[in-house]
Amino acid sequence: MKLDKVLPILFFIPILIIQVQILPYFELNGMVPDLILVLLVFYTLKFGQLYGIILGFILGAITDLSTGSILGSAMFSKTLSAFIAGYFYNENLAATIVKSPMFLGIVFLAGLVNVIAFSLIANFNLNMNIFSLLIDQGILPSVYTTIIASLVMVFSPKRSYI
Amino acid sequence: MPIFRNIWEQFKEYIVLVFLLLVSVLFISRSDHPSVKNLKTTTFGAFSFITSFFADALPSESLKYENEKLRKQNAQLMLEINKIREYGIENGELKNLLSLKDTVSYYVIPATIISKSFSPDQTTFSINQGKKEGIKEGMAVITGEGLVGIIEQSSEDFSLIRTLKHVNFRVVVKDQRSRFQGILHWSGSQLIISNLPKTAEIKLGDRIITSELSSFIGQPFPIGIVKKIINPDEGYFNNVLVKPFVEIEKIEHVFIVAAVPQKIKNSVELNFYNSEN
Repeated sequence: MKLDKVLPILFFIPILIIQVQILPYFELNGMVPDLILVLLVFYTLKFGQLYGIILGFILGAITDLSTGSILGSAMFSKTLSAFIAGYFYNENLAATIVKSPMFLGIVFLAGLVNVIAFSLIANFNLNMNIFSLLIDQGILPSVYTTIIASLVMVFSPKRSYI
Repeated sequence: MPIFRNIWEQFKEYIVLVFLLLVSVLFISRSDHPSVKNLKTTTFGAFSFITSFFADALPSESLKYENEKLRKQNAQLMLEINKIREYGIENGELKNLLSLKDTVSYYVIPATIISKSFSPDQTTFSINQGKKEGIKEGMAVITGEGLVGIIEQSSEDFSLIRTLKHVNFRVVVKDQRSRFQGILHWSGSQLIISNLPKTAEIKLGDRIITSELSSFIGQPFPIGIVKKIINPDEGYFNNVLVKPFVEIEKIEHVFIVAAVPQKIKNSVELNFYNSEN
């Protein structure tokens, strides 16, 4: 059980490598799907809100340190998005929720919170265009992430090994 | 004690959330602290070391050497052309009253991008050249088309580029035709020169280049063209949207202009910048 909870941190490094080396080939108008968020939501739904919040903080910290983002920005946004995803945690459905369409809805919502929190914390100014923030920076990247999450949903094994 | 235990049991998620968010905000406020920068450089260097192995395995390029040579030549020619354009305009203004002789020659270091981190606000790239090759923080990064960004951090073998599409990237620019100057920044979705006086003579399609006044990039590198002029009815200022020459998302190879930023000028400008915030 304890090893289970450490696994996402081990998975994180190869996923981060895919995020910064493979996914840029699939960028659309400067947007790439956020695989780290998918991993975070997956494990938050598996182990609960508190676990997700701490995992989000750790993954965000490593992301900031490895990619050169403003230190604290991904920490903040990933922690907050795990908190939101954690509301949908249900002990009885933890094993099956990733195979349900609800998983995609949760990824979308968490993605939206992640991108908006990231933008607000990194680039807050009073002249911000809320419409552009929501559509260009919020909804579109979240939809892209959700599409990738649907692949996870389709191809993840019925019995959870990870 | 049972009261605290009850409170913890009931609100532990909220307590942990608030604590971790506060820690994040603390890190954001201290992100320019030297110890934080050192930590980032070390971690980013280690991560780049890992990613560089994969970068070599990704799409193999034929005629790599020749391409690199041609790209280098292309970048140098771009710099020369831009300088010649500048001279043309200056010559017109000076009308043969002065004869300026330029002795500056640009030395460029070729580099390959080994990883890209995209986000709407903070697009950064890692490259496979570092301090060993003479790369220093603040050096300009270019391609044959124009400016890509500046070196934000460098370890012995790797460097991190803060691209034009990063909210913390700001550079003094000018309209190459009318010579009006302004500060270019990334808004999260657009490159904008903000708060230009309405009297500034800017036209659609004008070329925007870096200004000599910039402490970080004191040479005229092309940035883009004026795409739109936002002219509000009220107030005294316009905003100008710029379309960059470089397609930041597509580039794979860059050149670092090995010119050291001017420390004294930096210090004066940064003090001025800090006093504004």
